[in-house]
Amino acid sequence: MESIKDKVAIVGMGCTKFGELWDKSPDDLMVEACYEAFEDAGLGPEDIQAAWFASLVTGCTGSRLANAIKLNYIPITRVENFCCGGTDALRNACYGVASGAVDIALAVGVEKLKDTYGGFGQFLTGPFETSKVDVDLPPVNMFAQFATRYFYHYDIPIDEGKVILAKIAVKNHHNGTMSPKAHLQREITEEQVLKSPIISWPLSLFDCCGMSDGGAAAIVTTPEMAKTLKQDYILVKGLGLANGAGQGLLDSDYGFTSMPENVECAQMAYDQAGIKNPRKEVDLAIVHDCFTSTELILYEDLGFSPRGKAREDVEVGTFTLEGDLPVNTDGGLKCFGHPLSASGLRMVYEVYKQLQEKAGPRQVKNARLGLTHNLGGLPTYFNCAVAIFGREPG
Amino acid sequence: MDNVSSIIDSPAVIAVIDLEGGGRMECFMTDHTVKEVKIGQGDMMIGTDVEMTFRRLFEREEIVNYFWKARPVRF
Repeated sequence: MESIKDKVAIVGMGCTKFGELWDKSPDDLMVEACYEAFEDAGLGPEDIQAAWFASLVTGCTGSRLANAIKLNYIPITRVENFCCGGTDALRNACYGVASGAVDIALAVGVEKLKDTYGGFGQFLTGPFETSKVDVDLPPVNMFAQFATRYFYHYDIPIDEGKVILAKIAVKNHHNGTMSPKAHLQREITEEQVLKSPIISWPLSLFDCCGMSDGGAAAIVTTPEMAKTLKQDYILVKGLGLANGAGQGLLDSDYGFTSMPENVECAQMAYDQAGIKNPRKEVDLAIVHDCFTSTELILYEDLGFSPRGKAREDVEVGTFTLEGDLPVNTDGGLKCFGHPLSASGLRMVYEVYKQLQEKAGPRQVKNARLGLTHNLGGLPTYFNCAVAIFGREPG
Repeated sequence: MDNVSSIIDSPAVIAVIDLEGGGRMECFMTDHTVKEVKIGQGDMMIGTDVEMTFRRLFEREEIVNYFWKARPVRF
């Protein structure tokens, strides 16, 4: 089995502003994201040989993308993989190039949630048919369960636990103020988080990410062709994808203090990238902070903090912009909101800009290796994508 | 614990229950007050013994649906 490491390069990326975009159609978002990517790469729609298009509720079939961009009779696959959709589209485009089937491929993720089915929530299709008698509630309940169990397991009183979570929300909002494409761009305080209304105990309003519309796109090619297009192309180092099979609801050892999909998926990507010590080797990470409790557990699942020690890292500021391993430098889902299929490529866009040293006031010094992470679905049936990118070969 | 859920005995308290003799299920709690729930370690009721009871679950267009819920063991 060969690794994808250094076999594919990103030469162009685009990302729309995220927010409540009532005045833009999905096609507008695709055009905006793709044309920024085309301009960045010095290419046009006529150069694209195949495309992968991620959407959950914003258009079926590859023709939705073909129509928006006017791609002429090329293969386009529509990808649906919940919150991993955007990264999975990129993953497929990368393997398309690595296989030699195409030289230049496009990955696009777009979602308009605010005016589809009345916004995110009760009408969004789940992965399964429900029995109508099982517990079938929104994601915040599930991630609240992880918070209560985590605090119980590591003997953290709830009021102290809530302060740890609040620090994560404050950090991400601070980063979001330097992120012109983010939906929410204002500072918040720990006190505001702690005093905000409970949504699903112990998670409060500010522990939850927002919902928004947005789109993002990437153009990938071989490293050889990338050299002819630009100097600051970014190399793909590892692409992991892992799906849970419901093990946790059968297995009484499943602890709700970790999400095994994250651990398995990250290991897949680390093995491909040749990473032995992610804490030391990864320079920045853009992760799935759908809720602050998710980000806390991710620090451990991705190998950034030892088990049970994420709290200490949060308290000393390890994951702030100035810390050892900045996480969610662009403000994360907390500030961008979460248009499902667009989020993965939005995260890659941030890593791409950081590695090119084009991230402006939120630039991480000497960023050479960056990671993105998505988590979708339900506990024990999560799907997880981890992608790793680097500046130099080797 | 969910304060905005549409369940009939709100706030919804959702528990993952390990059954005696093996097996696990996720279900709603019932016959509790929020105060009662906030026991155990700190404010959590993790580790509390519960028993199953067949209860009213949802009602829509005059059709009532029943299913198993868990309640704290009282005796």
